Amino acid sequence: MYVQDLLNGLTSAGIYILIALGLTLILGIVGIVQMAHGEMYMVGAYVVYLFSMSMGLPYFAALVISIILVGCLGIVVERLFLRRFRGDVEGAIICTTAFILVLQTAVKGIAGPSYKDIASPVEGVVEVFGARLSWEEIVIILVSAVLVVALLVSIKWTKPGQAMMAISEDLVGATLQGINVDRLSSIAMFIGCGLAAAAGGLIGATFSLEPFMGGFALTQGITVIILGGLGSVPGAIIGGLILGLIDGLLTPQVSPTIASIVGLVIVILILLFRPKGLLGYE
Amino acid sequence: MKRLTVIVLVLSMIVALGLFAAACGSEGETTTSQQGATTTEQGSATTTAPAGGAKVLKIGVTAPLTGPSSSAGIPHMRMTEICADWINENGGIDVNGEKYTIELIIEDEGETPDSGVTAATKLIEQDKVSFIVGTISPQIAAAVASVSEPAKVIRCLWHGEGTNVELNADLPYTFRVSICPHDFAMELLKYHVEAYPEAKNITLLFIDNSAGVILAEQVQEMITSLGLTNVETIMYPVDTQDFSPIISNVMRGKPDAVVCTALPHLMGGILKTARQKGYEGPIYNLSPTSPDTVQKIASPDLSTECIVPAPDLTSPKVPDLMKEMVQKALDKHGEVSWDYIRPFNSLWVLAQAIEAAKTLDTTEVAKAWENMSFKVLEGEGTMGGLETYGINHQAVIPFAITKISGPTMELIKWVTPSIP
Amino acid sequence: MNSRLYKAIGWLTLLVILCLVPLFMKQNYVLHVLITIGVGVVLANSLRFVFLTGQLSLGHGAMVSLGAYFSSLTVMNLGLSFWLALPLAGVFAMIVSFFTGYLFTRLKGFYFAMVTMFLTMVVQLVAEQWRGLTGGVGGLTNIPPPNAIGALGFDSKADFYYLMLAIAVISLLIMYLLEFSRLGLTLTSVRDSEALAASVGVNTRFYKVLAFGLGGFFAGVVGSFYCHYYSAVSPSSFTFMLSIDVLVFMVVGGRHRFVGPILGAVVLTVIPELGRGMKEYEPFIYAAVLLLIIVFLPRGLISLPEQVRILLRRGTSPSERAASAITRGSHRA
Repeated sequence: MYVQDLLNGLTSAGIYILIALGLTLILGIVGIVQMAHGEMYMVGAYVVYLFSMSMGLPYFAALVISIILVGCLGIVVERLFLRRFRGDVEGAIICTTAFILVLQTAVKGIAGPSYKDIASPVEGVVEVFGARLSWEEIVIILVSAVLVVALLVSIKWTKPGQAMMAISEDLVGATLQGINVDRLSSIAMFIGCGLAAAAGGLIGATFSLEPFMGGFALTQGITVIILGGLGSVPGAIIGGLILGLIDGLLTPQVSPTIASIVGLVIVILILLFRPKGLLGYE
Repeated sequence: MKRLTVIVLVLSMIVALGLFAAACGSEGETTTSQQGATTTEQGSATTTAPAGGAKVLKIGVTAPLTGPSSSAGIPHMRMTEICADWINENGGIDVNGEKYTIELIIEDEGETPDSGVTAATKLIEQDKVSFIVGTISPQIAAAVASVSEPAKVIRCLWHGEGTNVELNADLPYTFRVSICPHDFAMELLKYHVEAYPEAKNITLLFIDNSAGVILAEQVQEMITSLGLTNVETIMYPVDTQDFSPIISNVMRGKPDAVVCTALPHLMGGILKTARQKGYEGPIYNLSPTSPDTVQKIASPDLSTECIVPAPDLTSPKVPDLMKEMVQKALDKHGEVSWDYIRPFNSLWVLAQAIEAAKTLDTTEVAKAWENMSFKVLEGEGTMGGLETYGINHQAVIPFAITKISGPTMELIKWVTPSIP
Repeated sequence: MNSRLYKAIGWLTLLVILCLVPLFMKQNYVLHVLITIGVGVVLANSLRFVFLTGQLSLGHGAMVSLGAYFSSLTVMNLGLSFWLALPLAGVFAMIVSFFTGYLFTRLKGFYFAMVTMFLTMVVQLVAEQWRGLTGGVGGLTNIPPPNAIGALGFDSKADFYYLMLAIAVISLLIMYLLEFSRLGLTLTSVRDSEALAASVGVNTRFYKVLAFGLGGFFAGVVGSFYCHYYSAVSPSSFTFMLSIDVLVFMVVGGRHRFVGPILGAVVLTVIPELGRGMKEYEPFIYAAVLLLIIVFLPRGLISLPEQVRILLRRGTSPSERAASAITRGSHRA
């Protein structure tokens, strides 16, 4: 039975990591708190719905289109609005809160208020060590693992990736080295929003879509990046795993709400004793 | 400077989009408010007499139009508009020989008691309405009572969770036409005993809402009285997305049947996850969720043995009038589900109560309403609830039990619960 | 000196007008909106008081919630008079703020904002779970109105209006006096340069905790008013979105000036009311206003006259523009 819980936790962790990675990249490189990150996740899910259910494209093609489109939306938003709020925490919160309202209301107006569902691309269930794992969950785990590895590799081995890490560690130093912060901000926003869209598309196929699904994603994402350390990519991965495993292993033992209180209290304690999170930079 | 221009363009696009959307959104309501166009700005009376023709009766509607509850609130609002149009087409409300057409004034009640009170205050004080239809959440219903009851404004709640916060002896002007989870529970459990005589062990899986704990106690009592066993009771938060850990918990108790309360998307999630994780027994929902929405979200192959207290709207057992309304909603908004049809009765029964009272005086209307039998889309209804709530302001109307079995579903029967 | 006198006369006139409003305004709806504005004004200004030390708190929702539950529970279960419960609710929220502030103020900037946001979430979750005390998700209902006092019977909106007015005026006055006293100077010095303030012997952590606690006091008082006015509280009223809303009032009005949050609360409470006709599309208007203000007036609505003046001067010589830029940069109230 614990194998089942562990696998459930891994599925949650996959989604949490995708959301948190985007949030942490945007925070580290664009330098703002993206309160509308959950709405990027929601829009991502709805774009997949549009292309796969309304226009009949195969699910995975729709997922790729959604990642690209929402990424581009991120670039547009970053260039027009977010760039001017680097380092201005209050301004960024106000601006992105406005985006929450715009995106929720627009999606609700265009797609209608009722619940939507994306037909899952894969069906059936696999038994592993007495635990049952649906193919949808396997897709979540695989896709998020692939995306995370791809991101880690590109950060480690490409020049923009290294430049991004430089910015998130030391903005002034990076600028002095001749790194084009604005261009990398756009790239970070593209990646961040794309990852959120991927998470949304995956969750949309497994569960259901509604215009307000983003709130949950935002709070979980923020919890994860605080836990792991702001701006830290490995931190987001470890934080996501911890939170996912709390979900998977603790929820069946106590009530779900108690599990989330425990999660929050753990985060507050970690913050108090390690103010920069588990893997944050000083 | 260039970027500034683009920003101005984007912002104006947002505003334009908003205005356009509002124009589209208000199209539906213009049909109901044509009559009110000539309303004079006196605002001192509920009714105004346009130059000739029928008089206008303003009825307030408070619905959550923004925020998460709007996925139910907007369909409810749309259906109430359809109901008003339908009543007006059939000659309006007949009050002692005088004909009144209904003009709806719709306000957003938001998600919290304060926004609900603001909306109700606006309707009562600014628009001078004496009748309000609406409100989904019990917290808002309770807070609004502090404004509507002193003003003797009749409220017909859309639905509720069944606590006596919403209906009690101190609220003589509050009524409810729809049926609450605990009234569904007894009938569903009776059906369960008939259909699955071997399945004795029952797990309750309830949303953690204001009625959750009380409802759990009530249902536990019913379970014992029917000779069944309650394995355990699990409460889950309403914003749950992934049900795997919760289902894992449910399956540890090895129940023969699961009884939940769940919104449509939650029900879909529970059903799908339960089947994927290998739980085979019947799953009941005490909330009237649209069976086709549940089936769609859970995917047809996985939605087996799920019983909900709401009708399959395509079934031949659906009454003709309800079919007509389904068609109207489909024609006007391109989609229909039980979330659309369910609130129809609230305005209709209110109109019947006004007709029965033969006056617009709210105290008289309340008195007439308490003792009347009326028509609803499902058939006939009477008032009850004197024992449960201390006041007989709860309607007793039939409801459908629908069983989803994979890609097909069947409306098993219409039953009328007893609400003493 | 003279301008100060004019200012004082202006404020007094406004106060007199506000006192007279219920006499000629019989529209209870308008009074209700004014009351909600009052709630917003006190919350936004108390948030700004915390912000004086440079700490961005998203814990205001928690403090309002604590005040509301404390007041309604003591009045309903212990039979305490509302007039005692109101200040005590503030004190209770203040004590909790002192305690949590002591723990949290070692965190800075974004971390502080987030940990206070988690505090709001934890308080909400606890209120949902502690059913025996708080009534769970359904919250508490039938909270009695304040006991009658003198001519105020609290059976009409006007009485509540006067109560809110009194709370708002007293809290604003206290906050104003504190801000422009030595204490206020110390608080702003902690914001402007914490290291420098510490080097001249200012116990920066003490002042941060103090500002956080005092801000919490006013939030608690507002919470107490809230529950007796609406006669119901539920955890869903005090989510972290409430904290965000208050923050929006403060920033959109202008966080650098005392009047800013007042202006923000007034404008941003009235706009949704005016936008009621838009029904489900009303958030578009609100969002557009937020974006317009935050992009074109980053220092808030209060800087609108200043910005207009600068725009009008565009045509003048570069040196004048530079001079105006310098005054703009150094300008701080």
